[in-house]
Amino acid sequence: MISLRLRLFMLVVTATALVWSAAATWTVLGARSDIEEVLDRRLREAAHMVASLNYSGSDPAVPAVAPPMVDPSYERQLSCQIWSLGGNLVRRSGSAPATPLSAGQPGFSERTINGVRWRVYTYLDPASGLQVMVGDTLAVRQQLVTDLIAGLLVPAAVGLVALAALLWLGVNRGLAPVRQVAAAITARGPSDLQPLGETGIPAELTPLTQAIDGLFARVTELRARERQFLASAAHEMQTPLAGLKTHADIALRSSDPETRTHSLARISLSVDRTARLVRQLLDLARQEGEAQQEGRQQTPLRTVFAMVEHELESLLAERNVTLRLTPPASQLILPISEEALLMALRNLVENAVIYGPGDADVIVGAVQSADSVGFYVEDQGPGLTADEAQACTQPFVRGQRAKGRGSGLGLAIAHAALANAGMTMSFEQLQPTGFRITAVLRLS
Amino acid sequence: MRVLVVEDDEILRDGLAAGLRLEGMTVDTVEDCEDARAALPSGDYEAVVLDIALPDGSGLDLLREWRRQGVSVPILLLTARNFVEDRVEGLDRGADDYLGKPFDLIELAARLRALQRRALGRAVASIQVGALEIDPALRRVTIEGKEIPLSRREFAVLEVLAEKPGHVISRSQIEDRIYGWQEEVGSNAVEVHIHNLRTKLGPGIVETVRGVGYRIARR
Repeated sequence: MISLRLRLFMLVVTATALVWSAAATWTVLGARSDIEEVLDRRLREAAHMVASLNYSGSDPAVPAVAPPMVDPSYERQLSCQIWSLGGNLVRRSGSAPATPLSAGQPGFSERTINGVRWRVYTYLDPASGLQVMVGDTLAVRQQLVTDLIAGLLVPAAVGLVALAALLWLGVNRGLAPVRQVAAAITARGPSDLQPLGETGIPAELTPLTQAIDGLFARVTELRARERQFLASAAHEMQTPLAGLKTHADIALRSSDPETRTHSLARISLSVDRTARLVRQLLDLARQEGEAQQEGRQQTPLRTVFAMVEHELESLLAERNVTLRLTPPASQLILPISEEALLMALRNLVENAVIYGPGDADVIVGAVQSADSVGFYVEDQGPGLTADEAQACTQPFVRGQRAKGRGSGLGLAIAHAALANAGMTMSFEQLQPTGFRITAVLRLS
Repeated sequence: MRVLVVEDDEILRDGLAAGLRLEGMTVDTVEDCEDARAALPSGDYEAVVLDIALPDGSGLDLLREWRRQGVSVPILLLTARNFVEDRVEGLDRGADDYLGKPFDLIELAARLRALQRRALGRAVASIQVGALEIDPALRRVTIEGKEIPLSRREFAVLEVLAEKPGHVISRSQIEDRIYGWQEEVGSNAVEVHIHNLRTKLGPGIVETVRGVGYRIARR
C-alpha cells in the first residue's frame, strides 16, 4: 500500500497544479485577446494621428511618423504608408514595404507580403484624399504573447516546485504524531500492555489508538485468565500430590498397621482422583483447542448415553443412583460429534450423580421444538443458582456448596464441548427440588 | 504443640492430621475459611497451617484479616510450588513461613517447631531446665544425659510446662494445649500424666501449686 505521506502529498500537489494550470490558461487567453485589442487600437490611433497631420504632398522635410512605442523591437516592426487616391505611394516609414499593406478598403485587414503576415489599419481621409495604412507583423504580436506566457509560467513553475517542497515538509510535520505513536508501540517490550492513553494524541488518531488500547486490554485479560488457569491448575495438581506424599510418609514411618492401612487406602483414593483430574485437564485442553464444527456430525444420544452409563458404573453403584434415558431422548439424533457429546454428557451426568442426592434418579431427556434441538440432564439435588452455574462454566470455579471431590472442571468441559458444536447451556432450578441443565442448538 | 490445619482437600487434610500427630503434635483440622474463623479463638494454637485456595475464599485474605484483628499465632502457608508471588504476598500479609506442595512431613513438622520456638523467643531447638533437657524434634527427654522414656501425652505436658519454667500453668491450659476437639479428655487425665511424669523424672521437677496448677521449678 502506498504510504500515507506520499498519498497526501500527491493529492495536495495534484490539486494545486490543476488549480494553478486552470488559472494560468485563463490568464493567458485573456491576456492574448487584451494584447490584440490594445495593438489594434494603437494601429488605428497611429493611422488617425498620421492623417491628422494634414499631410499634403511629398514634402521631404516632414519625416515619416510612427506612434511612440516602448518596445524598440515593436517600434521597428510598426510600419506606415501614405497613398494618394490615385494609387501613388506618397510616403512610407523605413520599415514598410513598397507594396500596399492592404487592398485599400478602410478598417482592419490582414495580408501576406513577401511571406510576412501583416495586420493593417487603413484610414481614408476624405478631406485630403489620402489613404493612411499602419500595420505590424503577426510575428511581433505572437512574440508579445509568448513573452507574456513565459513571464507567467516560469515563476509559476518555480513557485510550484517551492510549494511542493513546503508541502512535503508540512505533510511530514503533520504526520509526526503517527510516527510518535508507532515509535511508542515499537519501543515497547512484549509484556508491556499499558494503554497508550489519549494525552498528546490528535483527534484523528484517537480511533486508532483506542482500537489498539482495546486490543491491549483484551490481550491483558486473556493473559490474566491464562495465568489464573495455570495457578489453579498448579494448585489442583499439587494438592493431591501433597496428599499422596503425606500419606506415603505416614505409611513409611508408622509402625501401627491400622494407620498404615488407612494411609495406603488414602493413597489409592488419591491416585484415582488425580487420574480423574488429569483426564479432565486433558479433556478441557482438547475441547478448548477444537475448532468450531457446527452441525456437521450426527450422533444418536442413545449410543453416547450407553457409553456414559458404562464409564460411570462404579460411581452410580457407590451413590446408588439410577441413570434414565426418556423414550423421546432414546430416538434423538444430535448435530454434534460423538466425542464432544460424550465429554459433555459424561461431565454433566457425573456432576448430577455427585452433587445430587444418593438413592435417586438422574434423567437424560430430549428437547425438540420447531426452532431448537437438544437434551437435558436432571437431578433431584439443590443445584446451582443461574449466576453460580454461569460462573462454573469457567475452569476451576465451583459452586458455593461444593465440597469434597471435584476440581471445578466438569461444567467447563461440557461448556467447551457444546460450544464447539454451536450448542448453549441453560440452567433451571426445579420445584420443589431438582436441577436441570439443558443444552440446545438453535435451528435458524 | 497444638496446631490448626486449614485445608479443603480431604485426603491432604487427613494426611496432615495423621502425620503431625505422628510428630507428637495435637492437631485440629477445618476445611474452609468460615470454620477456620470459628476454630482459631477456641483453641490455644501455637501454629496454623493455612492453604491458599479454600472453597469459600482465599487463605491470603483470611491471613490478612487475622493479622488486622491482632491475631499473632505463627502461620505457615501451603502454596503451589512454582508461584513465587503467592509466597511474597503471603509473607507481606503476615505469614511467618511457607511450604510448597507437595512437601515432606518431616520438613513441615520442623518448620512448625521452629515457628513455635521463635514465638517463644528461644534460639536453640532443645529446652534446658536445670539438669532436664527436652528435644522437641526427637521427642527425647534426658536428665544429666540419661534418657527418660515418656508417652506422647506425657511429653506434651512436660513440653507445655518447660516452655515457661517457673510459670504456673493451669490444668485447663494444659488440656487445651494437648488435646484436640475430637479427643475425649478424662476428668483427671492431666493429673494422671503429671503423676506419671513425677514417677519417671523423679521428685522435685514438676511442682503442684495447690488450687492453681503446675510448674517446672526453675533452677
